[in-house]
Amino acid sequence: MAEVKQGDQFPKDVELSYIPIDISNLELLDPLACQRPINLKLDSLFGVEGKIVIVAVPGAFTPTCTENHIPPFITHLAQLKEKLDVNHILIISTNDAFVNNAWGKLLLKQGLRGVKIDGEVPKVYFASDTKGSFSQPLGLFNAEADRTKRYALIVDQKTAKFDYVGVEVERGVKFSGIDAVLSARL
Amino acid sequence: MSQITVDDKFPTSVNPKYVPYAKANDHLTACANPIELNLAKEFAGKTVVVTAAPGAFTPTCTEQHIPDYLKHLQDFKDKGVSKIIVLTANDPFVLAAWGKALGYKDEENYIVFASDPLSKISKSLGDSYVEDLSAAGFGVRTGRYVVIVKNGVIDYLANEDGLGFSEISSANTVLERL
Repeated sequence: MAEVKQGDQFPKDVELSYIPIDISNLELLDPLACQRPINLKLDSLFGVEGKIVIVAVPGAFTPTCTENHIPPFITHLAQLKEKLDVNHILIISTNDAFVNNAWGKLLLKQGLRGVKIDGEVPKVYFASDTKGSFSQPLGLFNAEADRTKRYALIVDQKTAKFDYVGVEVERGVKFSGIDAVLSARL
Repeated sequence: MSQITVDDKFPTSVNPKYVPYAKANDHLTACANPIELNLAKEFAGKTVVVTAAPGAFTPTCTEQHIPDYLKHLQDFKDKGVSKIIVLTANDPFVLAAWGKALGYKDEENYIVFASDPLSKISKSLGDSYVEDLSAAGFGVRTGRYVVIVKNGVIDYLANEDGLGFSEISSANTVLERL
């Protein structure tokens, strides 16, 4: 499958399963409390000004993702809004919605502790790309491992086109990290 | 596929993988590398309890099933159980985080949270020991069941009818059978 590239159109009818996380009171975030997953319909996010950032990781709770890749996105929410006008940030993996939710709560609790949030920040979702149904058609899936590749995408909500596609080609975080996203030429 | 029954050997052709708990990785989001749990070695000359659940961080497993076992760890020890193995089809990283989140933080690793890769171990017990939740996007999961293994041989096994948790797989039921 050819990899998606900058300027390509975002696919229609994408739905990702997730459990909403309310970051307004971090103390209430309990990774052991499980709610029912619901579907996020990506189509509903388009048609307005702003950007969506999608960051995919091979697995929740795995070393690189947990220690290096995702935490900087959480600590840079304000910058993502300010610099790129990001309204939504989706962290996705092939893990199920329960696992992603527990992981998301922990990372948000950890990353936002002591951080004062003034003004608007992007809405954060930890969502499941079940069996890679989103990543696979974009050429962003590692079928052998049955996991998504590690990548970051910036999507324009007005045009529904990809503004940035950063995919890791080896271990580590370079093209899909917060620095690459914040300095993407849009 | 034929069902495995009491007095059969617990299959050991596939080993589960797990991340042993260590103080150095105490934090919920700290992770170490998974290792293989050698079932044949764990079973030799010992009594082991194997219990499976459909998924880490899912409501029933997290709220009822595994906490019930965690409450009775000393009782299992008193009955001569050398190890409790919790299996799900999640990967070892997820399981390690789940174990810690459930509050088990002991370097003894008496209870291990181990990954049944693609539910292969459960499948080898029989088709009714796995649940195909693909339609819900969860893939093939381990069912909810419990097995007492004595010196590698199945002494007792009980499978929940469906995904719920009842006295069938409760800690008390198992303790009575030991």
